[in-house]
Amino acid sequence: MKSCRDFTDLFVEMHENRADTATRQIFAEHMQACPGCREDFKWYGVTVQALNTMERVQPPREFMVQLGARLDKLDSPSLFDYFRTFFSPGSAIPIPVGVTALLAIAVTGLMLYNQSVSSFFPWANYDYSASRTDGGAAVAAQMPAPGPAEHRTKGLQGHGPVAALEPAPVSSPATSIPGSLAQSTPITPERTEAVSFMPTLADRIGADNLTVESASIPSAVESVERILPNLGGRLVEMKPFDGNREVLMRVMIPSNAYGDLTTSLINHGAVQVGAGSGVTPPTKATETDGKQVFLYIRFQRTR
Amino acid sequence: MGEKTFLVPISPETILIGLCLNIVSLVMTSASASADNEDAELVRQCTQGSREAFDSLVEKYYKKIYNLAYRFVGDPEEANDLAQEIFAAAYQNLKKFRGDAKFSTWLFQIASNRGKNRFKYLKRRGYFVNRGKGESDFDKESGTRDIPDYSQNPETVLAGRQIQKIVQDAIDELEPDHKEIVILRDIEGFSYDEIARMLNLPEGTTKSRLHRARMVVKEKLKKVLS
Repeated sequence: MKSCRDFTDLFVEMHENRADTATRQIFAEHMQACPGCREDFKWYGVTVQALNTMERVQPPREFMVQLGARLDKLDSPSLFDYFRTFFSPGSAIPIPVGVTALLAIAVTGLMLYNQSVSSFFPWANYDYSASRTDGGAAVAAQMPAPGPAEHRTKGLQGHGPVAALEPAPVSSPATSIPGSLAQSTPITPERTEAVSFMPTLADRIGADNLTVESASIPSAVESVERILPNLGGRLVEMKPFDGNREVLMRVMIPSNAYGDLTTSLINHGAVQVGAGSGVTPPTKATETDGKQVFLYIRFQRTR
Repeated sequence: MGEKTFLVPISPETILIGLCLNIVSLVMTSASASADNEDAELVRQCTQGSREAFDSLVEKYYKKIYNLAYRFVGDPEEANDLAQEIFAAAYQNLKKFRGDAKFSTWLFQIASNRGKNRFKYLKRRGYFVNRGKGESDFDKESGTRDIPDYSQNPETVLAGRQIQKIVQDAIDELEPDHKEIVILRDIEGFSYDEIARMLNLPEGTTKSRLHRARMVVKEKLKKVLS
């Protein structure tokens, strides 16, 4: 004895005339005996008919034009589209490779940011003083500080391997400022090699900028900050390096105040002897308006 | 006891009708095979870089695809976007088409997948709930459709439209798996075999899903029209 549910399951076969004769016979008998199933089967037929006669919806007239434009875009993807799908499945680069590459770039960037170039590229650890034909603006300096005992600035030196500061000849500027700050001073053949190895990071300041060694970096910094207003200069930025063991100060001073600054540093005990007021500013290329000059001063602990 | 054999007398008219049906069937099969060959040739040209060949395929199928898209989303603008997405996907993936099945089967397989995904997406966002409260699409878009000729009686036309609306709403309430089978079978008229291949389902599953879907639509119709 079959239940109504069993006969309901036969609706598809019965409606599409795919049931065999025996099934059809049993189904017909049940339909005669069961008004509920008969009603259901009638509505089933109406439903299928309604579905079969659903109207055909016409696409808009501009469909082909719009689709053509879309396909044109697929034929010539823009640079934006390329990067938009750069890390998506199916693009030229699989996702894991892309993610790994991004991580590698980020890690390398962080390492370069925190370390000096020379730790990665030994050839960049170049002795600038060795390439100078003019002896540099280096002044060997070591004198007692005027303030507390720890406020002792050891010297005003060329960057890199600490160069002795000597009275700087006027024609001594050497290229040192990275990137666009490269200077316009003519480069002699002897210095060509040095120039070609110039580091490009700002923290690798060059020989014509100043390195001040001090037992107390904060005190030395404070001294320079006191000097600057008197010279008409100002502090542009200050950045600690290497866990505060070094501080890089970027100052803007009038171009004719370079000598005065070094003299003031000497007067404050930063240097013993050295560049006087007649010293030419070393970084002409950094001048912003022909009157001002950017100068980097690196403070480091006394070695 | 020997097995009884019943011989049913066949009239000449029945034989004649049978012969006619056979001839019609042969002509249709031949036309279908010709269309398939034409599609295969166009696909071959497409894979060699001919955009014109793909345009020909679009020209051939865009009305059907649009209609299928409309039945999935129930809105002209959504259907337009969906249909374009379907053709764009086909265009991009044509090189993956191996020719095991007919191009039309492959295209409708893409259409069905995309349509089902779009339907799920819209349903999640409550699109169909909000749409049901608004103006009937039939009122808005009647100018862009082929209205079946129910009769010249306006009341009958209106009743026909209302039934269409009720059926479309009932379809929209189906589960995505049921909806695609109802659309492919009852609206687009594909065979069970083709649907089973498109959806990668056993034929029995296809039939049982269709049955359940029809029963849901039937209940809705019965409730509204009774």
